[in-house]
Amino acid sequence: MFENLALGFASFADPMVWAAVFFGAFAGYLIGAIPGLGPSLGIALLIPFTYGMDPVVSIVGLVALYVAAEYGGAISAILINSPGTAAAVATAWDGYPLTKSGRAGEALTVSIVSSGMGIVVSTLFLVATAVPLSEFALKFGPGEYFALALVGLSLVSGLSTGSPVKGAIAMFIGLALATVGLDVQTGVPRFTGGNPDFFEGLPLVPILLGLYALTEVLVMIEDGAAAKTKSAPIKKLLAVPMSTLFGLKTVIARSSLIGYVIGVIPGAGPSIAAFLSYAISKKMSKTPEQFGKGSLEGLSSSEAANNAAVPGSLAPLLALGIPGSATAAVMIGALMVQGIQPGPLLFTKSPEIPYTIFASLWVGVPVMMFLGLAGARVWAKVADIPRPAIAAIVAGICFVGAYASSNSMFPVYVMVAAGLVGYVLRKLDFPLAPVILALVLGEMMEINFRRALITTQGDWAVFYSSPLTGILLAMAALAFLLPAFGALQGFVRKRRAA
Amino acid sequence: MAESKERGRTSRLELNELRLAMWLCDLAGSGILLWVFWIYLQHANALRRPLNAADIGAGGFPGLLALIAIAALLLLLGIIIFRHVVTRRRASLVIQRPLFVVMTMALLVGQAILFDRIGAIVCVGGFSLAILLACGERRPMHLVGVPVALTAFIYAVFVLALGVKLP
Amino acid sequence: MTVWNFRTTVSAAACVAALGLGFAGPVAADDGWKPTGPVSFVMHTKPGGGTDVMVRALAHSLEPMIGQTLVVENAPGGGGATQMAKVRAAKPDGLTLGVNTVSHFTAFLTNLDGVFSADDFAWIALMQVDPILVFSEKDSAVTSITDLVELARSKPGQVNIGGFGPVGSMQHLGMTMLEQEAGVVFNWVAFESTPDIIAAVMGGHVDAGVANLGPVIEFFEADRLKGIGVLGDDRLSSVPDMQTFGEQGYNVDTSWLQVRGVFGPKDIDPALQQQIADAIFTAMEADTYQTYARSAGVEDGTHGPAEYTAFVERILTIAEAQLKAANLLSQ
Repeated sequence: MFENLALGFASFADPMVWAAVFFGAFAGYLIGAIPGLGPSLGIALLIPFTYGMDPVVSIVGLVALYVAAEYGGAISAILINSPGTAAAVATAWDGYPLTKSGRAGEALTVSIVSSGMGIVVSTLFLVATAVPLSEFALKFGPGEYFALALVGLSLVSGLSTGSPVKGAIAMFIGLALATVGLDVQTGVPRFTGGNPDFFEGLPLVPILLGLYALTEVLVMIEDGAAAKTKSAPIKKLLAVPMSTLFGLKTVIARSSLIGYVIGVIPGAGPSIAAFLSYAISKKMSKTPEQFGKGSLEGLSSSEAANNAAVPGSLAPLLALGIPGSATAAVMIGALMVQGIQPGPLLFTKSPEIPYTIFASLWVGVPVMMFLGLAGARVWAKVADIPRPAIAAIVAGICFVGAYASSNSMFPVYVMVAAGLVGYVLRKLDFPLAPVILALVLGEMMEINFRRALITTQGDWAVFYSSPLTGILLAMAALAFLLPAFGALQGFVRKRRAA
Repeated sequence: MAESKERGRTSRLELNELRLAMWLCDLAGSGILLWVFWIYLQHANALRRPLNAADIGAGGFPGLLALIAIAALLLLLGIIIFRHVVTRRRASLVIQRPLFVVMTMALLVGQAILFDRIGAIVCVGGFSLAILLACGERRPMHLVGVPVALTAFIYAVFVLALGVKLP
Repeated sequence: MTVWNFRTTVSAAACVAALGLGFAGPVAADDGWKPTGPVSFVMHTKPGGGTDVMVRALAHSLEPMIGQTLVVENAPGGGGATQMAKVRAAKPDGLTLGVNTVSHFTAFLTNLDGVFSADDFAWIALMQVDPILVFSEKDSAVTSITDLVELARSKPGQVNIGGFGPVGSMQHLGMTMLEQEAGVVFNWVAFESTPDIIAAVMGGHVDAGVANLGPVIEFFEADRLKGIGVLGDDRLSSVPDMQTFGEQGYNVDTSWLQVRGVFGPKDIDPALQQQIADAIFTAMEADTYQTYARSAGVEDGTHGPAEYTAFVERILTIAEAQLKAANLLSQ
């Protein structure tokens, strides 16, 4: 293995490979930062440039773009509360409050450091466990996937603030939205009103832009021109003392591990990793009340996990040829253009490919951190732009970003509808996080529930006969019931005291 | 929110804030959601039965979902009324500068309608100016500079760099 | 106008002749398709899917030939409706083209029935044909279609077949043809991507899977999966051991193939259609495209406008019969 790793690093003797890393990281960083554009689009746009290039050079560039784009989503989430991907939603929960209290520089620094460390740690796991863990992930059948989705949904209670009943209703709204479109098993159109635009379901990114960015615009309108924030300028190399970053080491290590493992399971991507790790960090934190109000721990756990999921999603891709995320699936297309079909023989047939990817993940991190830290100085100033201007800019970019996401008007309509409904829900104290969580997990939950019953001819034993499913379902049940018990206990106690 | 709570001078048009009784808003909101989920349940039940006996069918999961959501909404309605009757706390829902909020909502809808009719670039420029005004910006330099810079940025990134075909 | 038509028809005929005689090469483009502006290929998929990669590979060699840029415009949504609406509304000048798969044809009969029909478009070139095959896990007792059918006979409706798309999709209809021919019933388990099917078969969650060759060939070579039958006239050259359905005694219509083709708005001049088809076929001979196509495991198609239109009609007839038989059409 070490010879192979040396082989991977040896490819960096070629200056073209370095150029590919820089170009890929830069392009990814910008594409990720624009709401509505994401890593998969970035890779697809880069494919034409990779013709005639050496496969190693082009793969290194694509990997650098992938990780940098996954990080870039954090920038718009932190600065303008507009997560461009579902993976950056949890980043916005703490990042945007930090920006509003003038700590944008700190938030950006913590996010880039956490992201970078997440990739470094996760790549270590990748090198050591790519093959065995990917084989293990094959054990995940429909029952296990359903249980995993339920574990994800059970986090709702931990993530939403305020009334638990409203949190639950928000979750049902998300689940209901996820059922719109052609049914995966029978192909029947559901809740489409006969309009083909709805056939492929409600697009996630426009809903994110609507619920977060456009509702934020309306809130800014409420505040008017008088509201201002003044960010503290970044004076030193880092906006936060080293000791603060060092204090996050446990959070980062734990979140990276969670991110990696979730990333390896095909179908569960960076977004689930970020939600899960955020909820766990909140549970384990000494200051859980700070979460959602500008906790550096919360920000760090989301960013470390969603970036750590990237090497995770590459594990089944490299070990078995099965992509762990939508973006990894696009990577397969990009590799095919090079005449490389990833499969179970990749490690034996052309070891230079996976090992160069491992090496480039490590080499790419300092490049990405450099871009991120340098960029943080520029971006932190964005927070100082007067509110009316930010509102106008956010609305403008959201419209164009939504249109560009599928070159049609439908996502624009979806975004505006989500924005108006989201504003009303927000005013009525319905938390929006469960809506997104349920929307991300809803389809995975329903289709695997039904698939489990179909493959066993309707035998419900599928949900408890496998130990893996049993454990996951027990975890979900605990996560749902414990807070409910707590609330009941508190209520009874209050009644007695009164 | 951490930012300053002090409001700027209000113009003649500007209604400073709208206060509504929270429990009434809650009732209305839950009522509407109840109605939406009721319609959803009926649509779910109308979906075709599955051909495969082991499948709960296209409508099975949404139907179940709607039933639980309706139960939760009824519980919420109960809680709202119970709270109102039992406690004396009277919270209210506050919307600052309501006129401008409604105006901006109309602007967003308008932009969605006009986006592919009059062209993306014109739309972004015009509507960003309108949003600036709605948000209370009155300095002429900003009113001109922001839309121009934004339009130029969008043109450079989306059209030139990414090759997106905008209407 | 007539003169121009005449001239292009002649040159198109010359192109065909040149191709037939083996003089094909970039030379043929000299008097071939000369678009007056950038050409848009409207896609029904998001960037990066199999069909998307095909167009991007084609663009690489087609662009220098026609002297214009080729813009890949991704318009996903509506089960192809977003794309087809764009193509149908475009001017028939050959500057807006679309890429289609068999799912377009089944959509005409099912979800998009009444919204779009095959007559709304000109079917210009069939670029790729890709037969479907059935595979099982390497240690599975199912080693042939006969085994699979026998298993289904012993426990009707309980043999799980994982495939791409819902009931009524291209792969599902292929399996219903086998069901009818063999007189058995399988249990269709729908998946949304081929890698998911591969993972489910390797993990033992379904008994057999359906796929095209490209995504599974590496798994055959690695001895993780085995092909048990291909729906086609001949065996696949890269998997010579895998028998066809017909060889195993199941005579299923072998024109039921996955295809990728190019179409445009219906009023494109037939001569222009021929030019476009010729230009595409010439561009497909370039090394970049061939490298991609061989690693993707697809066969090159050769149908120009006339043959492709006939092919579309035939596919629609088969699909309609199958959908009726499977009780999936409302009428």
